[in-house]
Amino acid sequence: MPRVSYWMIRLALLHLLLGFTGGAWLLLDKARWLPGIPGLRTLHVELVLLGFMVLLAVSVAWWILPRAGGERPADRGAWVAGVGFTLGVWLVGVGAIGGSMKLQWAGRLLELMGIISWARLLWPRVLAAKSHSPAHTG
Amino acid sequence: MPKLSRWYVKTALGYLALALLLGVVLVWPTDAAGLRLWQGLFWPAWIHLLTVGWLTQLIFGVAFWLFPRHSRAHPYGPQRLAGIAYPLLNVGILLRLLAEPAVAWTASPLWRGLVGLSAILQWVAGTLMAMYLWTRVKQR
Repeated sequence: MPRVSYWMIRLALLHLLLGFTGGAWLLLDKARWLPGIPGLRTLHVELVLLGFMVLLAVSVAWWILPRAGGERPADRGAWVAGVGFTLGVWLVGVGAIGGSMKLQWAGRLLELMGIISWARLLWPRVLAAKSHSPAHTG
Repeated sequence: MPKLSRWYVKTALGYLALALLLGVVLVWPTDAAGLRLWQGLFWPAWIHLLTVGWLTQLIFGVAFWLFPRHSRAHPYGPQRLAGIAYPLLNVGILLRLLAEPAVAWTASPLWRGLVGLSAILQWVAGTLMAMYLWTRVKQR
């Protein structure tokens, strides 16, 4: 798999681990074994749904979708999109724990920009995949 | 598709069906205060049936199948980790389905203990799968 997918998938797995840790803490709080942490629920949701699931999905798509025009696109755009999106996830999480709506807002904006960037990068390759499908080649 | 992947994917589909069924019950129109209370208590369990039971487990199953082979001799690498994670995750999810609504209602030590056990089982399973999949992520 390309270098950017390699690192982003590993980052997604790290988010899975941290997100599950946050989820376990929340559940142990319900069991009254651990104290509650304000903002932890938002951090947990952000890490699991966006940091793990979404980042894993786009990183695997970057690896597995066919090359548009037969050439593998440069990784630079994917790095910018991936790092920006991840930074967004962490800003939202840290903002939730610290009680800062401004950080959360900035994080959500970065997430949005990251995903729009990923979509722009992946779209030609989705079209290339469509032209490779049996319905089009048959 | 390897056997363990099939188990993960089939179980994920089972949770999807269960979540959709529970989803119908959770919005069932009722004037009975008791049922409305239970509808509220099952809400977090329903969300986690979808996100952990269905989505996460589907991802685990497909990743086990799709990610680059570990080596020619051992294509799936240290698959014991993924094999141990499967029952831990599923016992954890099912325990949560029962114990989380119950603990919000009764808060008895037994139910609290089961919620705690569910948290630990799911966390260990998630950690094992993260460790396992880490070994299957390879550069070209």
